[in-house]
Amino acid sequence: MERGLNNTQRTAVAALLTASALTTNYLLVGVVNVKLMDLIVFAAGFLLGAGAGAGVGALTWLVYGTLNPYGFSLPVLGATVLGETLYGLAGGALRGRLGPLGWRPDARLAVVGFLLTFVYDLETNVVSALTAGVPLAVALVGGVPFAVAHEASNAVFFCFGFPPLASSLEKVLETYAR
Amino acid sequence: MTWVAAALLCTTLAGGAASIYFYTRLVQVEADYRRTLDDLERLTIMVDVMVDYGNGTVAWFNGTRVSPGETLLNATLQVADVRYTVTEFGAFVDAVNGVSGVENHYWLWYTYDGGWEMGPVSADAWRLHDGDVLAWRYTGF
Repeated sequence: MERGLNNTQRTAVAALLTASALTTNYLLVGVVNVKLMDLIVFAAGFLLGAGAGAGVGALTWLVYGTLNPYGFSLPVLGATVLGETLYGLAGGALRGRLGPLGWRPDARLAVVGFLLTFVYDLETNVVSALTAGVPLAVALVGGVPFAVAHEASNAVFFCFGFPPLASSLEKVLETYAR
Repeated sequence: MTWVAAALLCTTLAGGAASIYFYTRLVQVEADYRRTLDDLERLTIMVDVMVDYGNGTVAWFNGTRVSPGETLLNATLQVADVRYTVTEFGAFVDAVNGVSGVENHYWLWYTYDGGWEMGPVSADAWRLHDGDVLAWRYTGF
């Protein structure tokens, strides 16, 4: 049991977070590489454990990657599913290591968000380049503006968004756990 | 300390990526510039134009780039403020860069071919070729 929740409650919370990630993805579909999904998946891992966080990430991409206005590619979907689980795993790994979270911005989380996104972008860009037959160097260099937008936005979202999001959700989960 | 190191790693990664990206863009832009310049050189010619104001002031406009077959009048209009009158004999230049009005002085043009020779036709009828050297002189009679 995580945070006093039984398995059904944990599954329900994971499903809600997956739905939230999906909803925000479709809402922000016109804003390339700026999404709240990574923050939500990280929060899922932090609140429910690494496995559940990875599951939320994988499920989100399985839906979003399949029903995607920009098209479908199985290798890229595999890469994004794998990359997204990193956020959940990292969230789980950092549970209890960040100290008490308030509502104030936390610069450490900006670093976490940036580095996780850097790894995610690197992995997905490499797979996309190999899939499309584009030279790796061209894909990596050409992808820099998009990667920077992704990394910078995630650094901001994690720094300013994660403490209030995690604190609020913790309170809600504690209420239901009683 | 660990978090500071991680933050520095972030800035290094971002800075490194930005450097590589902008260096690559610079190389691309330089290559584009060279290709455009080559195209421009293939599609244009260069002439040298001298303007002698007749008062000791001489100005050279070397390497003036014009379209092949462009007229001397149009080439001069590119490098100077020219006032001219179109007559039945062609364009007659009245003033170059505001210099005019001296009695018995006229703007005449010359072409250089081992020595200066007065232009045989009006400036709007003389077609230019790559490497031509021409002059406008405020000539008194």
